[in-house]
Amino acid sequence: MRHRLLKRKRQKIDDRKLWDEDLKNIPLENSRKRAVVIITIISFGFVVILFRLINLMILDHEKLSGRASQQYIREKTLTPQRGVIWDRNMKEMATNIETDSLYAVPSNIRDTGNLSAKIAPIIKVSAGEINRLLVKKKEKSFAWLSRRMDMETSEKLNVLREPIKEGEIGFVTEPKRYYPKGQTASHILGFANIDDKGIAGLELVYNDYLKGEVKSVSVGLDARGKSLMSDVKEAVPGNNILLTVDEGLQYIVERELTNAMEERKAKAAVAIMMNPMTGEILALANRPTYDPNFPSAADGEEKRNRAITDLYEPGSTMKSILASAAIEEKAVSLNNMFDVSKGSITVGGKTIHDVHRHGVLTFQEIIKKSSNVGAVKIGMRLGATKYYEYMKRFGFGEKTGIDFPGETRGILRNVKNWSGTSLAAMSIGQEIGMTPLQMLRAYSAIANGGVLMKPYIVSEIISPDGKAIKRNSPTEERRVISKATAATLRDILKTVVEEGGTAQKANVKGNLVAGKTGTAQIFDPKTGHYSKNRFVSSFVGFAPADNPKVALIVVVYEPAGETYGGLVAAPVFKNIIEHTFAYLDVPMETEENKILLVSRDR
Amino acid sequence: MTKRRTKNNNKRSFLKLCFPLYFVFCLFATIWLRAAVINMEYELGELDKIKAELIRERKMAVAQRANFYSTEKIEKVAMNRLGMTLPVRDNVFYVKRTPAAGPYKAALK
Repeated sequence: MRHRLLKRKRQKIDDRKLWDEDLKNIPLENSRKRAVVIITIISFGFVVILFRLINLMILDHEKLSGRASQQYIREKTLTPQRGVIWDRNMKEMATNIETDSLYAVPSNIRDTGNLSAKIAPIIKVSAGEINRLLVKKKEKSFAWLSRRMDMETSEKLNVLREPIKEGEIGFVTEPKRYYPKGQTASHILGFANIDDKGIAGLELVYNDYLKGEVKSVSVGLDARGKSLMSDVKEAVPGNNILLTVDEGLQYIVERELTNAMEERKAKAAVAIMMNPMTGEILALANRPTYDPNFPSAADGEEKRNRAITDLYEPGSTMKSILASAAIEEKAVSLNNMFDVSKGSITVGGKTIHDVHRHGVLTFQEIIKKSSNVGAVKIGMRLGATKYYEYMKRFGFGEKTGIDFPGETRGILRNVKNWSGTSLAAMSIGQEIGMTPLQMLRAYSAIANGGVLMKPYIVSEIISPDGKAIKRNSPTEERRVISKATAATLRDILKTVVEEGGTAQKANVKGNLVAGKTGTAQIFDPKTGHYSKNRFVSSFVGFAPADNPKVALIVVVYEPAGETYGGLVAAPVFKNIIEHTFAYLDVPMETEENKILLVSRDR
Repeated sequence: MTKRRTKNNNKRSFLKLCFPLYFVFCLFATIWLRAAVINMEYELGELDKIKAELIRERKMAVAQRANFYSTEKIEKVAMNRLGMTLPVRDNVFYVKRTPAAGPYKAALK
């Protein structure tokens, strides 16, 4: 048994050995062949894939990526933000808000009548008009329905979910120009149209600075039109503008002008306030006026900037210019006496009358009491040539150069073309046309010691990143009269507002005022004569007289009832100056004002 | 001898198995990264929309503030609601400081 077991074990070992040897000896050719074939086939497959990848990713890369971009990348044009306009204290006078504009996709609309009926009452356009537009553009994929709507309207439209969902209508966000101060400074700012282009005022003059730069943005969209990340570039906003105008002073001037218009039932009125030392325009107002947020609701009369576009005959305010020239040329002295007792004077066949009869007046009194006869006599002493020269020097007959559109140069005929009555007429401010700004500039020269300053309204243009790219500074045009002459005139003009003068109603409590009234008849071209019942009442002056902070002109066109400048325009001047001094904290000069002394009790 | 061969054979089989697994892993990693980027683009697109909306609200707020702070509105509120009047210059006193100034005693001179 044991022998048999041993024999079986040996046999197994021998068999195993034999098996190992057999394994060594069995040929591997068939297996190898199969492996090689399979590997070759798989490798070939990978090579094909590799070649295809090279073809797609390298050789056809540009063409295919371009096609892919076309499908999911859209170019969107960004409307740039218009620059902001600030007053001198950085208060926004013109800014931008985002509004929705409604468009339709006429090709997607199934029932134009139904949609029109839903939209019409909201955007306040007739349903018929909307329907006609949609039918006319049936093949098109875009049609504006309403541009730059207010928030309330766009919220109401958002309720129409189905048309929006169906892609029949949609919204585009567009910037809209907004004037937060309403009517205030409307003639200064002007307005921009629906395409954000400046149409009037500073919006027009500085349009190239205010408009930004249009930029394109790449927006990625998925298959459902949902946006992916957009290119970070944005439109370049416009430059900002800093004005010389003070919003508070502007409001004061506008308020008083409105009151004057209502009280006097006048046709129009103008007021301009300027710093006589620098030429900065602090306020400029016209009546009638308009709201630049709704420019289409205003007519031409309301939009007119009479301050620089309309001419008027200045009347007696011209006597100060005559007096300056006469003093400068030493044609008269302060002590000269003039007999105006006759009350009228005839020159070249034309008779000029005084409003009130006076006796013998000094040179100073002629200005104080505004004697026409006296002024003609002074003019005759000065002479036409000299007078014309000084009128040119004071800037009449030429533009002031203010950075504003539509300024007119005025009418000042060359002395060679003067008639026999021209000197007399021009001595009392007739036969000459000028703008209120030209007159104010001339009086500012008297106020500042004899230098004609160039008026300006824009102080700085500031880039979006805060750098000043353009700066306006005070510009002296020329010296028109000497300091001594200017000082003499100032003293004379102070007497105009004192007792006995024509402008007592311009007297400001606590501060000395210097100025001159004007009451000019309006020339009627139909009759060829000056009207007997249509007048322009004006007052121009500066205060405090000895150290002027402001120069101001008030012109009221065709007031009803009282017409004298001293009764119509002078009170407006007084009200504006009083409130201006309160606003600017200008203390009273007179001794009446008590000074509270504070000291420590030791 | 047999053990070593077997061991080598096992190693080679393991490597042969790892290679395709590694390839598949790389493929999935690439696709995952791409999907993550697209997802982030969607989120950024949403954030762009929110940012645009906030900018819009801010502009409106600035415009409304400018409107509220207009002198005309302030005057109307002051006069109609608070009963205030326009300043009278007679009632304004300018205080002059003396060298030894101090708020202890006041005298009208």
